[in-house]
Parts: sequence; structure tokens; C-alpha cells
Amino acid sequence: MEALLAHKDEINEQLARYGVKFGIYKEGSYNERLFPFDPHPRMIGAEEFRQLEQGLAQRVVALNNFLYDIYHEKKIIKDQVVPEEFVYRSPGYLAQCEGITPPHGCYSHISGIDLVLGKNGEWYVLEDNLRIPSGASYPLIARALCRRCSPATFQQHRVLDNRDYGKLLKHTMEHVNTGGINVIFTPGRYNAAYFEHAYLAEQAGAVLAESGDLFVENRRLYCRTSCGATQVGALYRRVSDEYLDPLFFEASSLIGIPNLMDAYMAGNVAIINAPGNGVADDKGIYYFVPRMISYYLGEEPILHNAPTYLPYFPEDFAYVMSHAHQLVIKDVAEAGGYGVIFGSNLTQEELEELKKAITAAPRRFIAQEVVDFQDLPVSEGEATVERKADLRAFVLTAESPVVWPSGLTRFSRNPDSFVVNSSQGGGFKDTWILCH
Amino acid sequence: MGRSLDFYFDTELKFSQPVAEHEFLLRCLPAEAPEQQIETQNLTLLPHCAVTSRGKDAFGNAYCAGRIEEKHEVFRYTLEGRGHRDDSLRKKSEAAPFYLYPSPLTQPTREIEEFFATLPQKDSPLATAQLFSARVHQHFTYVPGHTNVSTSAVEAFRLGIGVCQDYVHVLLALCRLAKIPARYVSGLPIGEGASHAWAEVWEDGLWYGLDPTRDCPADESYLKFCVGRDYSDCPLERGMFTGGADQTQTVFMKVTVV
Amino acid sequence: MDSMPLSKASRLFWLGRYYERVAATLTYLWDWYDKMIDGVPPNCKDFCRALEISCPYLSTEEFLHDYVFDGTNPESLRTAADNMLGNGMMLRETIGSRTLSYLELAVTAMESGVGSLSPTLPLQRTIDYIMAFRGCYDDCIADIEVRNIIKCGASIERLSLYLRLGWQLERVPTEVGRLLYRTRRARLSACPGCLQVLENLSEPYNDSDKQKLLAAAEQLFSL
Repeated sequence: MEALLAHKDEINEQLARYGVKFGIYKEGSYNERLFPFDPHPRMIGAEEFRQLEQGLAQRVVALNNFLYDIYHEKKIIKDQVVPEEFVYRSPGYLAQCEGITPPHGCYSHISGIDLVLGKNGEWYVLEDNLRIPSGASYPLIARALCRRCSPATFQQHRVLDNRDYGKLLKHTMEHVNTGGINVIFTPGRYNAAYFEHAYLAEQAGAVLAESGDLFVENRRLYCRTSCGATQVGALYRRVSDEYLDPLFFEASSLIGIPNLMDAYMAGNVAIINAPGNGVADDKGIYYFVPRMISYYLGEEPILHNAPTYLPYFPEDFAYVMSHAHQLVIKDVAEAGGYGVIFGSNLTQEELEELKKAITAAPRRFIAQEVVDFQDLPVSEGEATVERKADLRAFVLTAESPVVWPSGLTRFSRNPDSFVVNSSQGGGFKDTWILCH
Repeated sequence: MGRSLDFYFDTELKFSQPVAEHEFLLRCLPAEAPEQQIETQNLTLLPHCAVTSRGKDAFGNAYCAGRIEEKHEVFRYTLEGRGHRDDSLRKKSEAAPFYLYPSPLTQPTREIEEFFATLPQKDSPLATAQLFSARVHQHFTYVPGHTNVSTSAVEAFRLGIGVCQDYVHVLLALCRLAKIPARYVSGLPIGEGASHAWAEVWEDGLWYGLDPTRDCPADESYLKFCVGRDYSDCPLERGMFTGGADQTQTVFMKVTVV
Repeated sequence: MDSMPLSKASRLFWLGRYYERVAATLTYLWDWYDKMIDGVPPNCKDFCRALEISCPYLSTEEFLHDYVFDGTNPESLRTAADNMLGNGMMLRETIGSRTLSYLELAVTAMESGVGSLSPTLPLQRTIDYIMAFRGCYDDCIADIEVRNIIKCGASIERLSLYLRLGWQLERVPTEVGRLLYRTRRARLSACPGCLQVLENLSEPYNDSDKQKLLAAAEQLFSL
């Protein structure tokens, strides 16, 4: 490992050379920043990974069943496993998608599941991302560059190769392709994840296109290319649902494709991931994922949620009221909400105010125990310090879910912070899945 | 029983300069249902559009989508036909659950909740909704030009003035607070002028039309086009084109009893 | 030819123009740095007039700093380098990450020259990386029509600089020949009137010929 750490600067130089950046908007202007890389990898043993793989695959299958069910028969609501209001009040639920069956019935082709490792050695799922989970490109390119900078490290440590992500992605697109080329649809160069869009297009051999390149005619999606109008069979869109089609969704969208939904409803194009997935990765719905697994699959959930309470249920309400000071409270309403609040940071008055808000609208909140998760070593100058880190695992679903043997490990720069978001100055690590 | 209606609906969009690559989506097609049977209908487009597609959206509305590649300064769509309205032929159906919940333009706020709290509830959902409709009618003064297609129920409620769309949005917000499934309807009532919007509320398997703008039931003299949770689900026309043009819209409709 | 969105053609073309603008102009200005040592600065006003750009610089020294390095000046070479990289970034899957990395390195080298006492050293690296980029794209892009779109941009930029600055005029006929050859192999629609001028004018050029050539080259494509 020392060998790899000794090459920290070279690795970062290499990352700069390949333009591994993300963009942020600050005070109205767009800036690109290098995404800081820490050479200490997160290491996951073979046996541990097998467990994770099974748990993640199980979770993604259940979430996909849930999405199909919600937009069709809604059995899980009728059987009172998930209360109706959590579905229809979710900002991610799209009534416009009712009754639509995507090609192969697949909703979440690319799922990003955020996990943390507790001090007890257990993995906990913190969040499911079934809309546009980003970040796979970073460990993907970092691995290639680390191997270049420190070949000895990879001779000593047997690590599962993660560099086939492009192939995996290509296969995922091919599987649902309805006839035509594969396109990655980007909102454009000034999107935070533009590097990723372009890099994945290169890796998966897909065409990278913007809204002006694409149009719909006669219920088919076309790309204007140098060979004329070429039909698109699979669209990996990196544009969010509301902006996807200005004629069916948000009318003011300038980055969408007019009448894309018409082509989609006709079954003439696969949209990756399917529109409407937001209802399944909603903060409120998260609580029900373990129940979904039992309901749809008749299995015990392999992976646990962080312990979560819904004040909507009377027994959880009572617990939240008496333990608010030690819980994390999340407002599930989309806009103008309270965000994420750590009860321990509040004064007595603030705490009372929060309790009042919960009492007034219990459905709007979820509460979680603070998971005491393991810190990971991070290089800071010459020293090594311990920082909070999470793991985003990527599950790609074609015939069946495949867990990419790697993942994006993000860490917080600030020693007291649990926030590992890249826009907050955090960095990333490679995730090694060991061969033994 | 019932009545036969002849309908004519014509919209012209004039662009201040030529536009091209014009994608459009039209929902100004008469709904087909047991209580509204369409004998003839003909939709014509200008400029002529070689390929259009007909589909059905998630709310069950028929639509016509198309694309005009070449430059044009006018886009005109004209619908003509004859239908038969007979509410005694309605068939029972379930209300989609999303009609019970707030939609983008009908989110209630404290003001609407307070207004709701002052309203009495009757012993049937329909009677309650009828009362709400009358109160909404009282609350508003009909004045065009102060609100637009993206004005929410709350904004319109605050202003106290608006057009049919605003009346309907407030009525929908109130019905949903009372847990009555309610939806937005666009279409044409008997007479001449512009297209109209009203509400439908669901009771015991059937949808009942209420027109809060005119404070009357929306009965067999209303020809229905499309429905949604609010206006944003079912605008009669939407389009995107290239060319930085302003557009002016002229609408004319006429519905007569045969 | 593989499917490539039509909008990429314009990016390829401008990628060619911008990389050539940076590399050729730096080569042109090379002497200027040398002349500054002996205190005989060339006139930057003439240079700016020839390129039809504004000339807010109070001295040639200031010009050599701001025109070359100032990224906030929209007419500077640094901005041209940013545009070169920007177009390249939007072509990653067409030209490849390896090719693109040379543009990234060229810009980084330029950045490192800001305020340097010997700015020609980093600028030399900028030129080197652009040369490496040229070799790499020629090698990596299998499709001749894609390569030729970039090359058309580069040829036009060269002709523009030669004719405007009255520099290396002896090379103009060769460059015109290249441009015509590349245009035929680029699947771009060229302005017929401009093509005619480029095909028919031959040496020796008088001043009016030069103006016609310049206009024809710069207006050959509307991308």
C-alpha cells in the first residue's frame, strides 16, 4: 500500500491530465474543479462482497417490482403494505407514467445504492438512487491510472478488475434497445457531471448527444447525424424527469426532447432509467423497502436500512417525540422544507419547534438513528487521518441485476461532518473488491 | 334521450417571424365514452403535416403529435364534427387514486385550508362539491388577463380574480381536501367563443361535471376533450420550435344542438 | 462513417481552428520575446489591426502578457486555448480520452506560464502538446472524414493568419491546395463561390487577391 500512497501526486496529475472534473455553480457562475482523489482504497473482502452482491441484487429486484406495481395494479397499496399517500404525495411519482410498461419491464437499469459500514461490521443502506445515479466514471478511470502509477501495488494485491464498466453499460443498453443506436443524452457541457457523460459514452461506444441533436417523428426518436437521421433504440438520459419532454412535462424545459414520451409510450425507445422512478427512491418510501422485499420476493431482506421511524405511524411517532434529540430528522417534502436535521445540534427551543412541526404534519418527516459508521483513512498532506465515508454501489440490470465489482467511495474533508457530497469539498476513493 | 351536438374548434397561432422544426402535441380531440359518442370528427392542420401520430396518454386522453420541419409563420388546427351526449349512459368506474391528491397547480396552502375550514360539508360528496363550487364562484370575479396557464390555485385564490381555469383549480384543491376525487376537464360548452374548463367530481363510481365559473352543473351541453389532475396535465396544445418568435393565438369555437 | 451527431461537425471544425490559432500564433510571437531582450519591441498595434481585434495594451510587454495569458480577455490566446479544450471536451467519445489529454496538458502548460520570468518555456510545452495532439488524433480517429473536418479548420486558420499578418506568404498556395483537398474529403458543404475563388486564384497575389483569398477561406464553411 505504501507504494500506492507514495504516488499520490502522480495519480492526481494523471487525473488532471484526463480532465477528471466536476462542475459547480457558485454565485451564478460555472466552475470546474478537479475531484480530489485519495489513494487509500476502500477494501472489501471477497466473502463480504458476495453478501453485499446478494443483498443489493435482491433490493434492486424488489424496487423494480415496486415500480411496475405502482404504475400498474398497485397491489402493494391494496394489500396495505405501503400507505397510498406515501406514493401519491411523493414528488417523484409521475401520474403521466401510469400504465406505461418500459421495454422488458425494466425501470431501474442503473441503480446507485448508498451504503455505510457500521462499527459493528454491518452494512446499512442509507439511500437508493434510481433516477440518475452518477459517479461510476470516477473509480473507473482512477483504477486505470493507479495501475499505471503503481503497478507493483496491483501485483501484490489481487483486486477484481473494475474496468469493464463500459461493457456492462453497453450490454445494459443493448438489452433494452428497441432497434437503433445507443445514445447518452446530456444536458450539455455545463452540467456538473459532464465529464462522466462524455467518458461513459466513450467507454460504452455510445453516441453523446444534446437535445438539439435529437428529435421525434412518427413516434420514433432520431439523432441527426452525419449519415442522416438515425433511429435511437436506447436513450441513457442524464436529464431529470421533469425536463425530459417539454410537451409532456415541464413546458419551460429547453434541454428536453419534445414528444419523447410519445415515442416511449409507443414502445419505440428505451429510456434509461425509466421516467417516474423517483417514487421508489423517495425518502419516505425508503422505510418500506425491506417490507417490499418480503412482499414481492417472499424473502428476508439481506441488507438492512439504517434504523428508521415514520412519525406517520403512532408507535413510531411516540418514539420520535421522546428521542428527537438523538435522531436525524429528514423532511421528505421536496421544496422549501427543513432538509436534514441532527437532533443533537438543536437547542431545547428548536427541538420543541421541530416536534410541533412533526405533530402538525407527521407524514412529511422520517427519523433515523445516527449510524455510528466506520471511518476510513485519508491522506492529508503527509499525515493520515480518519474521515467519514460512504459507498455508492452500482447495480446494472439487463437480464438480471449485476453488481459492479467496485463503487464510488466518497469521504468528507471535515472531521466532524457526515456529509460526503462532492459539492461540499469531499473527495473520492477507489473501491477494491479483493479476490479472496 | 340526450342530445346531438355539432362542434367546431379552430385555433390559429401566428408567429412574429418564421419558425421551423415545430413539434406539437394536441389534446383538442373529443373524448370517446359511453356518454359521449362521436359520430364524425375531422382534425385538419395547416401547414399540412405529412406524418402525425395518435396516442393515448396516462389520463386516457387521445392526443395527436406531430412535427413540421419546414419554415412557417402560421400554425392552425381545426376540429369539426358531431357527437351525441347522453349522461344516462354513463358507466361506473374507479377513480384513479391520484385524483385525491394535490397536483402541481392545486397544492393547498394555509389560505386555502382556512377557507376550506369555513365551508360546511354536506352528506354526499357531490352535494359538498356543489356547495364548494358555488362558494368558489362567489369568491372570484371573472376577469381575463390577470392570470395565465401556470397560475396556481393559491395564486389565483389570493388575487380573487381569474378565468375558468383558476376557478377550477381552487375547486379541485377544496374537493381534494375533503377527500373527494376531483379532476380538471377541458372542452367546449354549447355556444360560441373560446374553449372552456370545468371540474368533475367522483361519487359512487360516476363522474359528475361542475362548472364553478358559471355556477352550474356541466351537463349534456358540454362536449368533453380531455382530463387531468390540473391544467398542466392536459393543455389543448403545446409546441416547441426553433426561431425566436412571439406568438399570438386566435381561438374560435362553436357548439350547436342539432 | 459511424454515426456522429451533426452538431459535432461544427465542434470538430472549431477545434481545428482554435488549436491552430494557439500553435501558429505562439510560433509567430516567438521572435517577439527574443526582440524584447534587446529593447526593440515589435508593434502590437499593427498585429491587432491585422487580426481585427481590440488593442487595449499600453506596451508590447503588456500585450505579450495579457494577449497571451489573460483568460478573462475574450480575444486572448488563452481564451482560444480554453475554446480549443472546450470543443475537445465535447468530442471526448469521438476523438478519445487519450487524444483529449494532450489538449488538457497544453492548457495546463499555458496556465503555468502566467507571471513566469521565462514564459517561452511553458509556451514551448504548449506547442509541443498541440503537436502531440495532432499526431494523436491523426492516429486515433479512424474516420478520414472526421479527421478532415478538424484539418479544414486548421488550414483555414493558417491561411487567415498568413494572409492577415503577411507571414509565410510563400506557403499560401500549398495551404490552399491542402484546404481544397481536405474539403473534398470532409463531407461538409462548402460555399461554392468561395471554392471557386480558392481554386482559381494563382500566384503572384496582389493585395486585392489576398483580400479575396482571405474572405473565401474564412467564409468557406458556415459552421
